Amino acid sequence: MNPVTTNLLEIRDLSVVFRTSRGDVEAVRSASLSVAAGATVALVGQSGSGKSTLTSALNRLLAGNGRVTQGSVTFAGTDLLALSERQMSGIRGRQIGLVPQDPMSNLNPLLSVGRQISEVFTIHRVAGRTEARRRAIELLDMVGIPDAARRYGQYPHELSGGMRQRVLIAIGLACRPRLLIADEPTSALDVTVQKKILDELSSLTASMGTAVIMVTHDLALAAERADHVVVMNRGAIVESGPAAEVLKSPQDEYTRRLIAAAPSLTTKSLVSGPTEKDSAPLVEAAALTRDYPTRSGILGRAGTFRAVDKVSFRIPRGRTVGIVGESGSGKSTTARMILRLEDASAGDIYFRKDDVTRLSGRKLKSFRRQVQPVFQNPYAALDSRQTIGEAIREPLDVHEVGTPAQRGERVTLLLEQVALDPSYASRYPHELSGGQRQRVAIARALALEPELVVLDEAVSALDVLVQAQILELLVDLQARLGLSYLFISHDLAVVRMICHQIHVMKSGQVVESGTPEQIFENPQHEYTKTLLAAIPTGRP
Amino acid sequence: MSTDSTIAAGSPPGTRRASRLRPFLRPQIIGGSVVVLLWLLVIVLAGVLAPHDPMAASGPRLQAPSGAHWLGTDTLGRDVFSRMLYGARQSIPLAVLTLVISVVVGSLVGAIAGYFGGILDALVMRLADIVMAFPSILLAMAVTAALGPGLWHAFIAIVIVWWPIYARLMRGQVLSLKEREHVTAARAIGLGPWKTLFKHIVPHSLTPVIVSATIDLGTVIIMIASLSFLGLGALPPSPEWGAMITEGASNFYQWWIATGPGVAMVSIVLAVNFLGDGLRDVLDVKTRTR
Repeated sequence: MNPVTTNLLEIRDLSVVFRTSRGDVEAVRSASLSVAAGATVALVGQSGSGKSTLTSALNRLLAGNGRVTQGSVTFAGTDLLALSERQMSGIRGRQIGLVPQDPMSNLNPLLSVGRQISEVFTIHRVAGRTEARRRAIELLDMVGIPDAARRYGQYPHELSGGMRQRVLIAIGLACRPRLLIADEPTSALDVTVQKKILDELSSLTASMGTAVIMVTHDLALAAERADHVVVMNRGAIVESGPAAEVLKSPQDEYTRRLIAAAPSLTTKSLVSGPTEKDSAPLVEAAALTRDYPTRSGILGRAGTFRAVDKVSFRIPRGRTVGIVGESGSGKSTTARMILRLEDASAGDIYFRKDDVTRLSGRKLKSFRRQVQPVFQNPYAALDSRQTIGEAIREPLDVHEVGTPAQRGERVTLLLEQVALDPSYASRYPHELSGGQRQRVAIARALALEPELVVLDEAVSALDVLVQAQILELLVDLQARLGLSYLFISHDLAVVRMICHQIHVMKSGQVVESGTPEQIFENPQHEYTKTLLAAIPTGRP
Repeated sequence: MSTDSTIAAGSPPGTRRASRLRPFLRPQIIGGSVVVLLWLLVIVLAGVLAPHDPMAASGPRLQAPSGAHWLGTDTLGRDVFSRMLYGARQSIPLAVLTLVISVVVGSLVGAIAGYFGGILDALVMRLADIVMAFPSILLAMAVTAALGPGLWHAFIAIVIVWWPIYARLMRGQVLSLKEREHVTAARAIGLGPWKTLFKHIVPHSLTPVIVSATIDLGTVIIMIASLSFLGLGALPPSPEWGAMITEGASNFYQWWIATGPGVAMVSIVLAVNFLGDGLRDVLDVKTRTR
């Protein structure tokens, strides 16, 4: 029935349906896709677009309630959907490798990483035990893990996130498969690590002649790494073509919106540059330091770990100050100290010239009125048992602002301010999308009319289109209400769009500070340069 | 399974309540609830349902079951069936009360220890460890022996050995919940520690406690009966299941004396166990089987 093809993988009209308690949900709608031998295809889309479902369907790893309702998957001339489970097991891992998304949960914590790699050889009977061990060490070396023979015996918890992701890549590539499916292989990692790993992945697959399907939400990354880009929206493939072409002249409306919304280093800043230079700052942090006690060894000798080391900065009124850095750089700890959720070990915080570093009791409560947070995870930051209205009203109740009737009016006003319909007040968080919840979190933060809002990775968990809307909302609110923001993020492109002043943090210290222009056009510190070089530009 | 049936997407709002109840409609839960409801009826209507006075002789002693005495008579000629029905009035409400007090005390202690930590936490949880290091029935016996026999003393004894279970459970829940972002968010708006604890943490941690308490109800019914069986709980003339079984044990060949209360106890314990297991399967995601 199928014409003779030269493609390694041919997906024709594939539809996948999930059975749920709310009825059948079509996750993939007649998707067609082909992958040539040795080529790299990027599958791009927002969360819920069906990109991961598509790859699990072709690997026959759909969840129990999912089934393929139509279409065919032809891999190297065989119809994968017609194979028995046993035959499929012979193909998985051996001919189709998989690199799963989350390096933290996809390794067995009770087996050494080496064993988990050599297991692939023994399962497919391509090598005996000693031979498997030798080849596993070789692989660890190939994916760039130094001192591979020693690492072989280590357990997942002894390895960093980047190392673990390398181990997963080694497992995926162990049998030199003809196709590798990489599902968001680097989205849990820092940009500098991401770059290294993707470089290694592409040179390895090139040398083995392995074709790659890379699933990602990052369009720039896809364009930079893939020959061919396939864009998915709501289960359907809306656009596909050579990477450069899709990015340069997108045909589909959705792709165009996606490209427009994706922040990159060339996106225009949303805010105007700094004007008044030396008016009294709203917040001044002076040599802020935070130590955590640590214990090591059997005797538990106490030591200290310095998470934040003498960090100083100022936040002028009505301005946005950004702190960027990778995970573990101390940027969130700094934010928590400014919020007084964590106490500084040393140093001072001045708020409108008052020292607030050691406030407690009633004075702390009135300080909290002035400084409000918005957190990263819009799913966790709201109490699931409170309605949206109750959540927004709660700060007003705590501080007894106005009469109860006035508080109710204020909730309506706040919802309107963040562009949500007042009828949302009676809904529960689980009825809202991620972007809507983040709007609620912002409304709640604004309820007490604070002067400073601390945004800790407030847009990082959102899809690009939603992220762009929230950023615009933040800039708009700043202009209207004269808010000051402390904006914590790992995403330099976003920080560039919204900040007036940027501080780059590494290992607890601020290594470079300046305006976005200074930092991005003329970085001084070596680390800033590495960070900038690691950002996917969208140019192959 | 009944939970597998699907309903059409976008069903009208009226069916929403029904779909929320649907997971609870499993044979374990329905069967368990029916038996529990029957016993509740018995507790309320014991006076109407019982054919004879449970405290007075109503016929010759040690009579085998007959039309007049469905479960025979005991050593004093009292009707065993009537005594069994009245016995439900003692065992079940007392067991529920014991559990409620244990859950309230244990959860409060656990929540406070978990949230505030420090010395208080260390002291309270070590005390809980000590109590839990003893076999619970032995410790309860020792406490009742010290206080003197009596149903209320048995109650106190069981609360003493039982609260640590819920304290531990609650503490674990609170420890993991207090790091959640919505709790941090509550602190950041200036909510005090007590309000944060009772408004944003405790309501989220009640589910496992309630499930655990339901499963424990059967055990507590048995413990109360055991203490009575040993002569430490209910005192002789009162119709308590454990005490009635003691009487049956000393009149071994009159099998009916112990059979009535024994079967009654098995039925209620089994019913609450089914109910508890069913609730756990529905509410507790971690142990969900499918």
